[in-house]
This record gives sequence, C-alpha cells and structure tokens, in this order.
Amino acid sequence: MPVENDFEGGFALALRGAAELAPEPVLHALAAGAERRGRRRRNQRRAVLAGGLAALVLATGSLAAFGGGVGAVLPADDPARQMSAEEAVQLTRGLLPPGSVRELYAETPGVPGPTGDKYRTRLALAFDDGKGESILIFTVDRTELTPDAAAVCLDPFNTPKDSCDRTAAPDGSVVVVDKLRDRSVESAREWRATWAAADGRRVEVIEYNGQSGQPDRENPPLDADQLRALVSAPAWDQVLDALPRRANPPKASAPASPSAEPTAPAAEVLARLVPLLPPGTTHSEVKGGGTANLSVTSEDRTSLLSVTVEAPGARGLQDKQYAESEGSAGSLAVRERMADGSTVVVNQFGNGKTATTPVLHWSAAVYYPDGRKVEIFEQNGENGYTARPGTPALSLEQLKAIVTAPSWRS
Amino acid sequence: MEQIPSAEPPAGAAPPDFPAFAASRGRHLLRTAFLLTGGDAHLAEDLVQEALGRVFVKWRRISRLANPSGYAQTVLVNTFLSHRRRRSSSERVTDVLPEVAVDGPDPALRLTLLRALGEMPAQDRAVLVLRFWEDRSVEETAAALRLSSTAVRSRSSRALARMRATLGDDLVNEPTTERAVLRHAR
Repeated sequence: MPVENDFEGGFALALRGAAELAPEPVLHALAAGAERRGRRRRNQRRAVLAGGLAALVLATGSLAAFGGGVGAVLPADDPARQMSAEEAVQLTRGLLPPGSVRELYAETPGVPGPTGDKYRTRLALAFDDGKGESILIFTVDRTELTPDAAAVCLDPFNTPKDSCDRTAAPDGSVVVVDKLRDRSVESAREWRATWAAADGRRVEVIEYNGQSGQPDRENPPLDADQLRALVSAPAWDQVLDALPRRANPPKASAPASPSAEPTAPAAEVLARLVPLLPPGTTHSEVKGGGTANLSVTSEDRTSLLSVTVEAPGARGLQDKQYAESEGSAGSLAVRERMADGSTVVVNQFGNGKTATTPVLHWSAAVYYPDGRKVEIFEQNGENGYTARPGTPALSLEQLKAIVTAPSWRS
Repeated sequence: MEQIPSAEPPAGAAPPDFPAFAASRGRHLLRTAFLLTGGDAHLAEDLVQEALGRVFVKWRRISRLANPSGYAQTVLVNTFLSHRRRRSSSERVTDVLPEVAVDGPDPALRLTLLRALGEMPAQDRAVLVLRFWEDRSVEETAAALRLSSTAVRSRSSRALARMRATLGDDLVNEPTTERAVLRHAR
C-alpha cells in the first residue's frame, strides 16, 4: 500500500470502509450477465467482419447452462401467490433453530427490490443462538441457470476458504456449502449455502460469525448440516411461488454433474513435472485454478508453481506469434529463438504484465513450431491471490530447464 | 486496456471456468466499481458486467495470464473511463446516495467520501482507486491508465489534496457496522 503519510493511510482505510457500502452482488447472475454481454459483443464484431450482415444466430455451448439462453423472450407467468415481506420473514424464522431473531431488512417477494430484479427477493436477519448475534442474509430467486452454474464453489485459488461441499440429489438439484474466509480479517468467516434446482429455483443463505468483517465468535451459528437442511427446505416453495416464473427456465432434465473441477489434465501435467524438479526440492500438490499447481520448497524457500501444457494446434501458433512480439510482456522478458524453431521466453513481472516493482511473478515458456506450448509460472504464495516479493524457490534458469525438457514432447 | 490478441473459443465451447472466475472476482470488482462511480450501485453493477463481458470474449487467452484478476481490474477501470467519456460532464451521481438512512460518524464519513469521489474528474478517481484501493504502485497505475508516472503522481497528489480539503484530517477506520451489512443485503 502506498502509505506515505498519515492522511494517505487513513484515506486508504476510509476507501475500504466506503467499499463495504457496496451491495452484495448475486455472483451467478453477474457471471451470467457478463457472458451474455460477451457473446453479444462477439457476435456484433463477427457481424461487422462479415460485411455488415445481420448476425442473429447466437453461439450455443456453455450457454446451455443458462437454459433458454438469450433466445426468444416469452412473457413470464404471474406469481402463483402473493406474500408480504413480513410473511417471508415469519417463514424464515420458522426454519431456524432455537434462538432470538431480529429482522434487519426484508423485501416483498415479487416486488422488484433496489436492484430491480423481480425474480429475486432478499431478507437479512440477526440471529442469536445464545453464543452471539450473527448476520444471516437470504436470497430466494428464480434463475435461468442449471444447478451447475447456479450453485458453485468459489475457486479456492482466488478466495480463502476452509472447505466447499457439493451434494447432488437424484432429482437434479444441488446443494453447495462453501466455507469462506476473509483475506484481510483472519478470524472472519463467511459461510454460504446454495440450493439450486434443475428448473432454476435457487435459495442461498450467507452467514457470518458476527457481522461482515467484524467477527465476534469463532464460527457462524449454523453448521454445514443445518445449512443444507435450511436451504433445501420445501417451505421455500411458498416464497418461490410468490416470484414470477422465468420465461426461459433451464431444461429440468439436465442432470447435475458430480464435480466441476477439471483434475485429470492437471494430474497428467504434474506427473511429468515432478521428475523435472531440481534435486533437493520437496513438493506438494495445490488443487484449484484450473491449472496444475505444485508447492515447492528449496533451501527453505517455498513457492507455488503453475504449469500449463498445450497440444499442437492453431491456437498455440497464435500464442507463439504473440509471445514473439514486443508487446506481449514487460521490460524484463527475455526471448530466445532456438535452432529447432521454438521460442523460449523467460520473464519476471509484478502486479500487471508491465509492472516490475516489486517483482512478484517469474515464468518460463517454450513455444514450438507445431503450436505445442509448455509454460510455468512461479510466485511466493500458497494460492492464486498471494504473491510476495523475495527470492523464489526455483531460479529462472531452473524454470527454463523444466519447460524445455524433452520429456514434455514424448 | 492491455492489448491481447483476439483468441476466441470455437463456437459452442466456452472455457469452462469463466463462470467460476466471474463469481469469485465479482464481489471485489463490484466494490471497485462502486468506488469508481462514487457510490452508484446500479451503474457499478452495469460496469462490472460490461467489463466481465469484455473479459469473456478473450477468456481463452486471459485465463492463461499469470494474473487474470489484475487484468479484469484494469479492464473495469478502462470500461469506467470509456463510459465517463460518453457521459455528460454535468452528470451528478450524488442523487443516488444514500438509499437507506445512515447515521453515526463513520457512515457519514463514508458517504462524504463517496460523494467527493463522485465529484472528482474520472481519471483522478481512477488514480485514487487504483493506488489506494487496489494498492497498485505509481508505475502499475500509470501502465493501467496509459499515463506517465509523472502524470499519475501529479493527479494523485492533486486528488488527495482535494480529498483532504473535503474530509479533513480525522479519517478513521471503524469496523463494519450493521448498517453496512444492511447495504450488503440490498
């Protein structure tokens, strides 16, 4: 933090306080909305490239996760019943274990709240089980998402957490219990439970061990089993019935997959990586982030290695061309054309590809003429969001030796 | 924005981890956008969706960067600046503050800070947010905003002086209040 005097330090802290006033986003909706916009942007660009012809055909693919997607919009059904905010609070109270409950905030189901979303209703309670009052925030909504997209574990590579458990039921519904920590307040806990049905119905509860960012007890009041029972309670249908039905709900027949974590490619990469580590290093696997990650220790220095390997193909050729251009990396990058036509790039950079003060990332990559690529990143940290300055476990030369090893091509 | 060659996934095969990335970074991005917009929650959400939409288009390549989160932050800031360039300079965002009653010295200070941010030139705002919320160095801020380091220092100094004039020297950091949690619920 660029703290040069007291005012700057105080200003930085005040900014954090102001940021706390931001509304809690509905993360899956944010992701879905972003993907829609991205597809629209891409299609517009393609339309322009095609000479201005109207491009009305939208890509499919993962948009299947959003059910009917962005196709024809049909009129939504009216809610099956009406429910007041007070009735929603009373229903929620009845689902909680013994304790005192204080209403903090409640919306009327079916009436758009501050975000203007009529398919979603929210309420917040202060619940005290006798061990201290904690905040519970409930969100009930009808989404266009299948359970795979509506109930997800936040990537532990990017978010500190203790665990995330995902349970799929025979009817296609999924319950996820995600136990998150706070990056800056070590004792703060944020436990999230999400129930998502195959037809897009979704119930989420977020509980803190006290108030958000201000813990005053060890854990939030409801344990994982209680959370699972709470979010999957049939009584929520009364609230859901008070929300209008989506015009494009997902197809209810889509079964939930048991896990979204792509572990197989990472395991293959690690099996090739480990024999290439310098003698005297110790290592352990770090899962997450969609890449092969290994924590390595050498001479009491521990760093995180992340490796990606790409098979030959057109995409790798594009990568090679890009890597050979000056703009692809910062000032510390060193590019080397090899006799076999491959290009080796060794690089160091900070928080951003052009940043160099301090250096936080070290990397080496080799790009072969057939599009094959092996790339390794190193940083001092235990996960994707921690990168500390200091000498890393492996030198740049060692990283280069790893990616250029012939065994990757066998 | 950093220049990344277009690397679109084949039709029908979006990278599988974009939703997870968007979900995991959404909260932080929204808070950044909330500060950039001077506390306009609706515009902040709109900007985050737009920025993530831009990230989605190039996700294949961005996902293989060492720091896709940092890249997304830069995209967000540039999306904000592009948006501001399209808007009238007379736009007022203070009308949206606050949506609920806030009391006590700390909430008042936070709202004053947001209002002061909202009245500041967009690029100055971006400099302050990158420097003091994102903890980026002068050089990193300069790279993200395509400014010289000298310009970033100058803007930062000028904006801080304006903040000091508005907020005084009694900036304090109090723990999150129940009121803030109420805002979370909204």
